[in-house]
Amino acid sequence: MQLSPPWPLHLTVDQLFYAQGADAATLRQRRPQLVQLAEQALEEAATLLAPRVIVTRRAVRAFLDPPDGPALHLETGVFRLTTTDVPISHWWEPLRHANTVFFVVCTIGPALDARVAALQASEPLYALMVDALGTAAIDTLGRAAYRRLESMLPVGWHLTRTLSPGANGWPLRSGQQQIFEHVLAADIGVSLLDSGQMTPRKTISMLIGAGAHVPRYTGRPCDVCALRETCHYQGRHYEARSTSPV
Amino acid sequence: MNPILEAMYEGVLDGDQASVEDNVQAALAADIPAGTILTEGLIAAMREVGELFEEGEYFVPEMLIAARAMKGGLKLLRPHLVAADVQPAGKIIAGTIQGDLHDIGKNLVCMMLEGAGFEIIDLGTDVPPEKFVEAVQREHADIIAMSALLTTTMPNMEQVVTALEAANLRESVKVMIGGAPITQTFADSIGADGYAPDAGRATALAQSLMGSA
Repeated sequence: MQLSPPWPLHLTVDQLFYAQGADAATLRQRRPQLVQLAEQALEEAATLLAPRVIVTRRAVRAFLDPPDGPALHLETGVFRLTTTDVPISHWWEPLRHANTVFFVVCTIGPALDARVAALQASEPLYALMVDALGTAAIDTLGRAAYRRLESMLPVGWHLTRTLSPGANGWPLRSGQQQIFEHVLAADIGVSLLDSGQMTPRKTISMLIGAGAHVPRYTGRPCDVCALRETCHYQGRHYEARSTSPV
Repeated sequence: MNPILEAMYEGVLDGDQASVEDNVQAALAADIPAGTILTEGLIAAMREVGELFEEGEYFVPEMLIAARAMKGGLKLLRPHLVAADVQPAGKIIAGTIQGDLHDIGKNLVCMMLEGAGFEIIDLGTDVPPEKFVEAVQREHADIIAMSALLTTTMPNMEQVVTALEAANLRESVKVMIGGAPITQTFADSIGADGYAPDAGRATALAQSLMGSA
């Protein structure tokens, strides 16, 4: 199913700065020209952002734990949680108590990619700002989708944190293929490349578990990210204002 | 430092393109050699910008406004550099590796390298090994700078190194790599000459590889 609009992405200048790994308060104080540029990018948001979310919900019949690695017995068949290339990763652990899983793909559409590409040669600074607009938008959309799913749960149920291929030990290529087997992402204009990358570029894919015995997740995605030591984009500044476990 | 060059230097640090352009014009009018304007005014300032970024004092968009200001000055200076036969610090072939469409990081690196006086041939994204090889042959480049953001595409960097070896070009060009999943260990494992974790340190690495650090 597609989660219906509206998706009011109320983005701010500060979010655009955070999306570039920058401290918003510092930039506001010493770089007024960047504030103007961010405001200019925000004015373009209406024409560049076409947020869409598609979700497939699958009931979990059992969590299987055979010797060759754990799996979810879904209503549609077995969903393997391990692959031979990363045998020791336990990225799937939050799913152990899930009664249902959501396969989710969110995108802001292709217009922003085209705009960034067109700007890159002549106005690279503004291209980066527009790219940051896309980063902030897809991040905000992912959080909004998470909250929407949360609002649809039966009383007493909780969502796990989001799990995404390429993060926390879930292999990128095989994980993306697993998600795309369950979600008709083409219906919202999203394609999967051989590399595991999706187009449009500002697209995210997620697997989220839910259930009566799933503990409410209160951590942050950065807590478990393999890039948490080096990532400029989710590190100090972004994490400080992050409140949603997406 | 000459007060005009000092003002130019400050203009780059502040990302003030108009000031940089005015000061380049003033420096030329004052008969300061074009090579001196480039190295002591523009490149020196961009070096400090890189250091400030490395220290966490400057942020990415600040690097870019500095680079934009520097580029404005460089545009005015370029004919004078050509006339004075001032050579670039080196020629670099840059590109995001095959299968990978990410280019923001690569573009940042290109801008910083340009700010350090390098000539950049940017091949774009999703660049197959043979394109890198062709570009090295055609341009007689000193360095290949490759970027990858995905764990699934970073192994393709090794294919470029292998292709260079097959074309008997490996000894004539240095290979530097970067991108979110890249580590020094990975760089060593594929036989790259260097790895830089960010755009600021990419400049220092390129200078080091050219023996000019």
